[in-house]
Amino acid sequence: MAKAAKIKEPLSDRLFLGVVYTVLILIMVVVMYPLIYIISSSFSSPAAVASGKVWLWPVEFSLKGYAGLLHNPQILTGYGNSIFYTVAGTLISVTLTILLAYPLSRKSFSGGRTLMMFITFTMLFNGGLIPTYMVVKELGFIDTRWALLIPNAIWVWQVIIARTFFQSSIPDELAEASEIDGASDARFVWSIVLPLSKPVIAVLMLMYAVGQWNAYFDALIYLKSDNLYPLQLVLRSIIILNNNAAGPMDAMKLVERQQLAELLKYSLIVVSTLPVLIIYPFVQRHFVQGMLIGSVKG
Amino acid sequence: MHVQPECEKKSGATAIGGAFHKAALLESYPYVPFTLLSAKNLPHNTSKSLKCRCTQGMYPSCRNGCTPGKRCTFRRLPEKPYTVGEEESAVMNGSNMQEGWLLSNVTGISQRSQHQGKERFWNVHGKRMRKHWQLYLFVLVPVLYFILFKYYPMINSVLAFKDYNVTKGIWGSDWVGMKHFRLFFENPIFWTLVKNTLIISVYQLVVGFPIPILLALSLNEIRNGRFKRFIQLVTFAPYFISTVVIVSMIMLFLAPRLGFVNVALGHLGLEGVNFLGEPGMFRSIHVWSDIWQNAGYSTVIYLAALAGVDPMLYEAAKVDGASRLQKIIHIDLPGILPTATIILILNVGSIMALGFEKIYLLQNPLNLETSEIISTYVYKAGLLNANYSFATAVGLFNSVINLLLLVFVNTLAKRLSNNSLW
Repeated sequence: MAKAAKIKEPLSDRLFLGVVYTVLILIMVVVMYPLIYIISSSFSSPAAVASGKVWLWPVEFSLKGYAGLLHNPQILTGYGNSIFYTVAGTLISVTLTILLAYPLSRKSFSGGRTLMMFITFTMLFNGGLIPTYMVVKELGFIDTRWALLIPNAIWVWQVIIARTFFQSSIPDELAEASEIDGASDARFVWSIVLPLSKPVIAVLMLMYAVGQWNAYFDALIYLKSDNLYPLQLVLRSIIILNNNAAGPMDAMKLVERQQLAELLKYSLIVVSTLPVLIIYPFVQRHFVQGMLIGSVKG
Repeated sequence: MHVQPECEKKSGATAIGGAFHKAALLESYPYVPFTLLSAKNLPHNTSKSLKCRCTQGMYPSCRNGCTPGKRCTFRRLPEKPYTVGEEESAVMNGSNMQEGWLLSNVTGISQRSQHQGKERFWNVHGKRMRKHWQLYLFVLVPVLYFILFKYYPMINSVLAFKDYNVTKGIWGSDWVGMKHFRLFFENPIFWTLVKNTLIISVYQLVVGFPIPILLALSLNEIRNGRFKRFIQLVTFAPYFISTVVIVSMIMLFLAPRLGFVNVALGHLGLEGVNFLGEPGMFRSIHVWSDIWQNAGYSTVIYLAALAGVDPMLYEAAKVDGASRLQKIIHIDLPGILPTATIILILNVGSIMALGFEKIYLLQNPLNLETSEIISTYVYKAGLLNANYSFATAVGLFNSVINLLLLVFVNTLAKRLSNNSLW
């Protein structure tokens, strides 16, 4: 028989590796357990959740929590609003980001460096909460949907990512060639740059979308009417401020109502986080790439 | 059309100013051999003989006087070759202008009057701007956005020096000088806020900075691709969970009676604790939940740095009989040092810029003693109590401190190592 080609690692190294594996598995458990606990609780019965019987798997499997969500108009409106804010906000943000990032990536764009400094300076210094609030107020955005779509539309970090991508993947020679062929800049962007930039557009869309979906602060300061609230604010009111979500179901006994309210919190968390966590494994690669593009040329 | 002048790269011109500026200069002096060199220190109006490193036919300077491989005379202009337009001046007046060299051949067509230079500069840039007017149209709306939502609020910060009056508006309100700042500094809450902000930030930095590094180093030891990817997938996931949900989870888990932590303590025969009601617990809750959420995300950047380490180093170490631990200490750690420095700069620089969102949600009257920080205080004073000027003053104070800190830390890092943000 042929000799074993592999040289065995020394004992100390194997021990070391064993420790590394153990630590990593421990970390994995610590990260996953809270998530599993929430999901399991959301599928348990109200009584089981309220009495703390759940510890890993669902106890007395039931879908009452999810059914309860459907009966709460506040949650449904919030969900709808969040979908609207995410779709509209992402569209606006991505468009503006590309409009800004593309010219910044061109050498033929005189004044690009100055503009870049003008933009990056806002990362270092900002006017602060109140002055920004005053501007939004002056524009009449308070308590309108615009307040969530416009004031935070462009993230400088995203501009840097997009610009770096354009610089490295759309050579200036290509722009010059199409210029000679008679294409205007707009035409070039539309027919050449956008089709070639699908990966970076995907990254921008995902980041902005997740950001919009998860945001609550702008809604907290700019919105007053309940019917405009995004899901995150509804969540805050139900879980953190502990407003009962089980609704005015008079027929129910007090205890049952409280138990259901407790269960609703779990199912609400699952429902609000699910859209993000479901797409996450498919897009993680893009996020990582995006982060690295940005960090290469920060 | 301007070809990237390759010979400039070879002559070692630094990239400051970018190839774009070099190209602009070339266009403005079509018949004068011109190049940018890295030899910066020659005084004005003196000459130096240097070897031309251009390749034949690369750009006009090669045809006029500069023969590749031959020596030619470079002369530094008596003063700046030309004055530049206002928008470029910030860039051009900086260090790179020292590199504004003019290569003069024997006949010495060199000095241009300032006036002519300016005109030429605008000829080139104006022409280019006209040709690419659509690019300027593109950036119009985004630039308006930055002016309106980023720079206009900065101007609005003068509110900090006025007594805001709703009917008079920001500009009509009366000036009161440093009154609001004085009020803030004299208020006993000032020190509480600064202390709370600093303690939470430093705690977060001290614990949160090394953990992603350790995680990345351990993951890097794993050769089993699937296991590695799975761990990464799992640890990265919490990053996508919203702040509201994180805080909701914390509250559910730590709830006084029903939270599973207290249930578990009960099973162990220990007394339950109202975690969020204990001021002493607040910092740890905030910091460790933050690590739970963000450690996986921060790991990615270190893993990328580790992937860039030269494999030859590992082979050499193997030949020398290094153990795994020794490889980590002598190869991996130096490999991620530049990345770690940058991240440390960012973290230290933003030590006073502790985010509002999560802390505000975690606050309750019982833990306010340790949980009230500058940004939550600004929100409450400004928007909840409509004390606009005062809150603006507090916010402005915080922003200025942040900026100074970042600049200071960056300068320090530049001195000590060669890693800096700018």
